[in-house]
Amino acid sequence: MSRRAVTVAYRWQVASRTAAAVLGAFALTSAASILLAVLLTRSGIAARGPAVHGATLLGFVLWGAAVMWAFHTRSLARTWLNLLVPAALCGSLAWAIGWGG
Amino acid sequence: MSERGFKGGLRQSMTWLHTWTGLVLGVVLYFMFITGSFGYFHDEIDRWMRPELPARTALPDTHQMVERGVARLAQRMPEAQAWYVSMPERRAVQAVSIYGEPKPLPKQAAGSEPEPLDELLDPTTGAPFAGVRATGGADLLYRMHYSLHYIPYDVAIYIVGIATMFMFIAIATGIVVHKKIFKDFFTFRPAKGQRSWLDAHNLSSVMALPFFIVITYSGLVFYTYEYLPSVKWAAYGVGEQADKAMESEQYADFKVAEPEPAGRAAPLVPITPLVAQAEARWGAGEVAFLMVRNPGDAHARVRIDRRDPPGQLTRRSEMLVFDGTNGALLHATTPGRSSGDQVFADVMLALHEGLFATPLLRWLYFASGLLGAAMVATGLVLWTTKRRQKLKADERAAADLRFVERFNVGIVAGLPVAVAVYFWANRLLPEQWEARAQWEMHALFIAWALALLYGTVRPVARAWQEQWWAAAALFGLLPLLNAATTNIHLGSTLPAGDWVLASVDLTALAAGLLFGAIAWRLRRHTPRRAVEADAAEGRGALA
Repeated sequence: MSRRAVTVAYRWQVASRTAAAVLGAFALTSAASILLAVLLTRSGIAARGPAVHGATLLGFVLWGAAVMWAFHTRSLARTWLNLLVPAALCGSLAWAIGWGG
Repeated sequence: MSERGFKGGLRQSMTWLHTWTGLVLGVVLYFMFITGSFGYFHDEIDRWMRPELPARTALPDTHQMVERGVARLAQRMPEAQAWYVSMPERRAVQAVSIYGEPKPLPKQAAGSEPEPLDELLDPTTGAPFAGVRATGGADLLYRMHYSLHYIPYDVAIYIVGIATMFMFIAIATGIVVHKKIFKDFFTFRPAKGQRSWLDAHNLSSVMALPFFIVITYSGLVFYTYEYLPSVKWAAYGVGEQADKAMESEQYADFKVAEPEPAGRAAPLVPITPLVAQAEARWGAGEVAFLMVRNPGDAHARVRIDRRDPPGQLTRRSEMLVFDGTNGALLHATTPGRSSGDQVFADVMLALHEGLFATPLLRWLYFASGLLGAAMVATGLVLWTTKRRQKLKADERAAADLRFVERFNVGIVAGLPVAVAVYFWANRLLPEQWEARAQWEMHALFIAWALALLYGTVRPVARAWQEQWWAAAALFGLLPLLNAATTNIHLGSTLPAGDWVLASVDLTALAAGLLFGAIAWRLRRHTPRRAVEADAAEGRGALA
């Protein structure tokens, strides 16, 4: 890309996408990991302590994948939607199921 | 990235992400790889930096060393939250290391945090070694790879954490970008500018790829809940009470040894019979570590840990917990009873630290760490070469390109110079000076700052070459300086077969030769007129 193409608008695009990658991916990672920990606990596969630990350890991998996804999606609006809609779904599902007890 | 997001395919978007995360966090990652690599020779470097320590001798019985450590702590810090006594490591420094953790200040109390007590004791006398110079040693050097320096610990681990997460991204995107990993592994096209740098970057990245993946991921595991606290918050809430609730579910074993103090005084039970019990279970010499929690309190606990078996990927595998007032055995861990998540995390941490490694594997760890530094460095140089080659004949380089070119010199070649200065400072600063340990580290950072400055005032090609010569001289001459200032030089350590000490001198010599070879090569590839033209234009000609 030539330097003339680097406009202010472009810089905002990059900034917004970076924000999506950092904050949006963190939200999605958190929600998905919480849901996983809830499912592991409620299904009796693991006690709550190990479930929280295991889901967090897996979370780092999820986070990496989410960041890459954020940078690959074509439009910026889609980037945010792709991250926040699944995050909201996972989050509400986890909240609805709950830790039990 | 185009105006409307990415038009290109996966490789284009991942190339963009790889390039920019690498550039922005390259400095931190390079620093982490270089300083962290020294951790694999922690014991050797620590011994080298304390030349006054006596030669290795037969060690007294474990219970004697433990008693001496506890006695010293009781004398120096009777009012403590915890005392820690570590037995001499298998390699290098033969010292009993003690640590006293002061009682925490009551909440909202005025005054600064009380200082912990941190000493190395002579195993045969139980007193601190006399006449040993103060030094940050290998500890201070390698701990910077996660706690940095001059920056509060709580801030530093987040800077390092962000860099590590993006390292993770850089690896993943690098693999996606890189189509022909196997074929390119056997490709090196020297002296072809950008192509050569790309080949060098690919080679250093792929050669130790499994190491990079594991070292990066496991680095995150050290601070699992600091970096990703949301699951913890969702399950237990936020705050100290919530953290305690989680720990009691996850680390029940360890919590047995750490009750709240009762607030009533009670004398501590004699330690020797407890050590004897542990040795009866595990065998003589198997005790690695002893902790006394709440000494002098009715809720005193004594925890004894077994050495991790050599060559096995375990951590803190076995321990005994005793009541510190009557010596009753409260808890004994059974190996192999941890939950799967804990085993996984322990294996990751053990892989990261490499304490299990035999000498050959230790060298591979060290070499892989330095390959990581080479990977980051070649990536940084590639960024500039690529942009410089795209310039038209009469086009002047943009300010950002010139900045990165100059910055790279001071970062990539400057840090080895600075680390060498750290070792020189250890030998040259006055031995009795109280602030010498701090000034060893100041010397490192002053040297690095000067190297960065130097890169901005000299023509770029010249600056590279001269800084590599400086690194070559400082490392190559280190064994001579050592011979001039101590009696643990190669002339005495080689005939005695003391490889712990000799290996430090020999490695410095090898590093000197390596840096000298780089400087020599740059000399051949920067003809005089290119350098002069470069000086006239103020641009680099490293490619």
